[in-house]
Amino acid sequence: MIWSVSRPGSWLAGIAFFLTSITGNVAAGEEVILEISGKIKGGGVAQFTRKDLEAIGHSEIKTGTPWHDGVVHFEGVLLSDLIDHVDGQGRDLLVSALNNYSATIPSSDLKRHMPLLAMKLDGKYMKIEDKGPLFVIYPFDADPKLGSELFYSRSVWQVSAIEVK
Amino acid sequence: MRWRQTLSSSKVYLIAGICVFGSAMALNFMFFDSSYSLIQNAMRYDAVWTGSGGRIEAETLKSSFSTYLLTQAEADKKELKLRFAITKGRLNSWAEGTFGKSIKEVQGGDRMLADAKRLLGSLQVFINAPPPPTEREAVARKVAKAVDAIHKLGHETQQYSMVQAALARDQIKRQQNMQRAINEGLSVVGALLFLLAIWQNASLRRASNRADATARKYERLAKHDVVTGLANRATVEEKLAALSRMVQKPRVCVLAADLDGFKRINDLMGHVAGDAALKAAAEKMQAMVDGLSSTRLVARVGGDEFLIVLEMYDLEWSLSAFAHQLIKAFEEPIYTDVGTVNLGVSIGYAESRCDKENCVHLVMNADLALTEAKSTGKSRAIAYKDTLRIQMYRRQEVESALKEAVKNHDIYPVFQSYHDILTGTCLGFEALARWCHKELGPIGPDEFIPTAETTGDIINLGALILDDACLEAAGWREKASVSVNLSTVQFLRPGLVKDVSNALAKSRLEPSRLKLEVTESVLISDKVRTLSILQELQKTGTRIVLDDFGTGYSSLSYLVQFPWDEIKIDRSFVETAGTYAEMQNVVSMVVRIASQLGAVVTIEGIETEAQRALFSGFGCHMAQGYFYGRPQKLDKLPGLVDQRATLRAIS
Repeated sequence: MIWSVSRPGSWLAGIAFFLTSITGNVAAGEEVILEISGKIKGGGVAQFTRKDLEAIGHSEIKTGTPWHDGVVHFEGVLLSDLIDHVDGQGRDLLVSALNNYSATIPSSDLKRHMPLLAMKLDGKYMKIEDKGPLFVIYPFDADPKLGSELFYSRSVWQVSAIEVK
Repeated sequence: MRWRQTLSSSKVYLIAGICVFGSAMALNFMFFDSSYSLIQNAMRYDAVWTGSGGRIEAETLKSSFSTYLLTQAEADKKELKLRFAITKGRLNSWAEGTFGKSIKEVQGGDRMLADAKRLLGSLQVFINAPPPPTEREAVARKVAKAVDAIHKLGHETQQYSMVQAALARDQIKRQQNMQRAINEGLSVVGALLFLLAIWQNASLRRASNRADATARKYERLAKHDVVTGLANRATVEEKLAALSRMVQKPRVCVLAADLDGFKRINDLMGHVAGDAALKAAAEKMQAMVDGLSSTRLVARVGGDEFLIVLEMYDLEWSLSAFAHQLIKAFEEPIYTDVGTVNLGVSIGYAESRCDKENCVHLVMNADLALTEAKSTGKSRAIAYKDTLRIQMYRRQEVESALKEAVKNHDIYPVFQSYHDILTGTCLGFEALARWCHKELGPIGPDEFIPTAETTGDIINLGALILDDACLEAAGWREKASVSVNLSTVQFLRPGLVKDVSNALAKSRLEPSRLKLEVTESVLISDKVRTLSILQELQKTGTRIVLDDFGTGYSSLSYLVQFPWDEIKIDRSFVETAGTYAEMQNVVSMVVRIASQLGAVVTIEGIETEAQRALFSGFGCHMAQGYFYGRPQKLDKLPGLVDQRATLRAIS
């Protein structure tokens, strides 16, 4: 984990850093894939590599999604564990993706629905082409309430940054 | 019954209603589930969303490509690589999930996706190795072509999804309309069921009321007399039983009343008149009783028998006075629907004497007093006394001992002589029945004869005395006659004539020596039949005697209705003869008439010489009584017959 000194919200720097990582200059799993900013411990920007994220915790969800055929198997870290890790104290999380998509996830979702920040799909790390490297996944099959646009829209793929608001 | 039919038809409606209700509910749930799946189906919004996302990414890729082709800068190359990967990812995701499903449904969708992938894939080479400036325009056209293919695919799929969603919405709308109709139907059926339940409830209540009314009616019938509307015996017994249970009892008075002359009205004027008379009598009694300040109950308990129960708190009030008022009220003619009738009333009454007394036996006490009242005359009121009960027990004891006594010959005759009133010569003996019971002691004929008449034992008893008397008389040396009394009941049964001839045959007594004594009462019930029997008896040679003349109806007409051999004037004339001149005239007249008819006259109850002389002067032929001696047992008789000379000497 690299604690950046850059001002929160300056995610362009993150992108630049990320672009460097996919050029292969850094070993697999060593490049920064996620930046967390906003109301977190220290108030700066927290940067995470895949290994950092894997060190925080491991959870999995087997579920059907509107974007896959049949039931698929996700592995990653629980968003709640991650936010706890950075001591995030906001009401909402603004989750942004590489494709410029972003969605707001209420912090209350984290404990109530236990969404996962998935890294692996069916045992393989997800590439950008496979909606990777990070994908917010709710346990859709476990709770029929989750089968709605509300939660589908919160299921951000190609996640690159989270701002705790 | 009608209400039962209505009930069962309403049950059918109820069951039908519940069936309709249930089916409608099931249909409703079915539509609900179907709507849910329709809504799921309508979620193809995601296709729209994913589609537009892809189209934006394709545009971004196009612009990144343009920049990179112009600058060939490393940063732009990286940016292009990212956008390329993102767009590639998008096309990958379009092959799967709901969007993949939509594409498959779009006509030519698979082919378009394959085209887009192929066109995008062909751009990869230009990213890795930038084209020379001369080819840039051609590469830009290639990029535009690939982006166009993505746009086309996104657009087609978007449109298809929107149409599908619109169709699903239409279907949902239709189902909602149907659900609405079903719900309306459910509401109507529910309301009808509710109304039906109210109606059924009401009809149940009506049925229950009717059943109650019927029950009340039958209860009334069970407790009341139909003719008079008065209570019946069951009600009286219930009432008295209830009174007996009371701790603080009032003074309970019971009057038993019997209508005198009712039978005559019924016989002469028919049952309609009889019922009218009963009704009028009932009203009269009720009116009398209603004037009292007490709780009262008037009941009809038999043909012409009534019971009145009074709960009296006034200790000064006189039950006896009330009973007599009631008798007085009945002395006036009664106006009925069918005319005026004269009805008397006999009353027996009884009342409770202490708090602890059981009231139920008051009815029996009053009945006992009533029996006493009726046996001693009409229109009388008699209070219950314990002696009445003792008498009743005595009657019951006598009654139960009687049959055995007749069988065992415990009842036997004694003989009282009768004499020539002038000479004193003994002319014969009257056989009188005597009974001395081992435990009850001597029982007089005035006690056991009426009892034997009611039980029918008089038939055997009469035959027994007749046989005994005839056998006895047959043994006498002197040809004295013997008199035997016959009861009315013996005349009512066949076989009397046979009994007499049997007795004569067994004893070989000359028929002329047997006298058969009857009272005028035998002529009252069935005169024609009785007279023919008397004639038959007279034909056998026996002599027929009219006994106890002067009591009862004492009609002179009885004297001429049959050729009596002898007339016996009752002892009551002896007791009053000296006092009333008129009585002397009557006796003289009877003697004259009898003489003219060829009958001899005997005076009974002579006790003194003065009496003998007096009635001798009136013209009586024979005399009987203690003056001549008391009735004697068999063993004393022969001497008596022989002592005729002695008796003559006394006179």
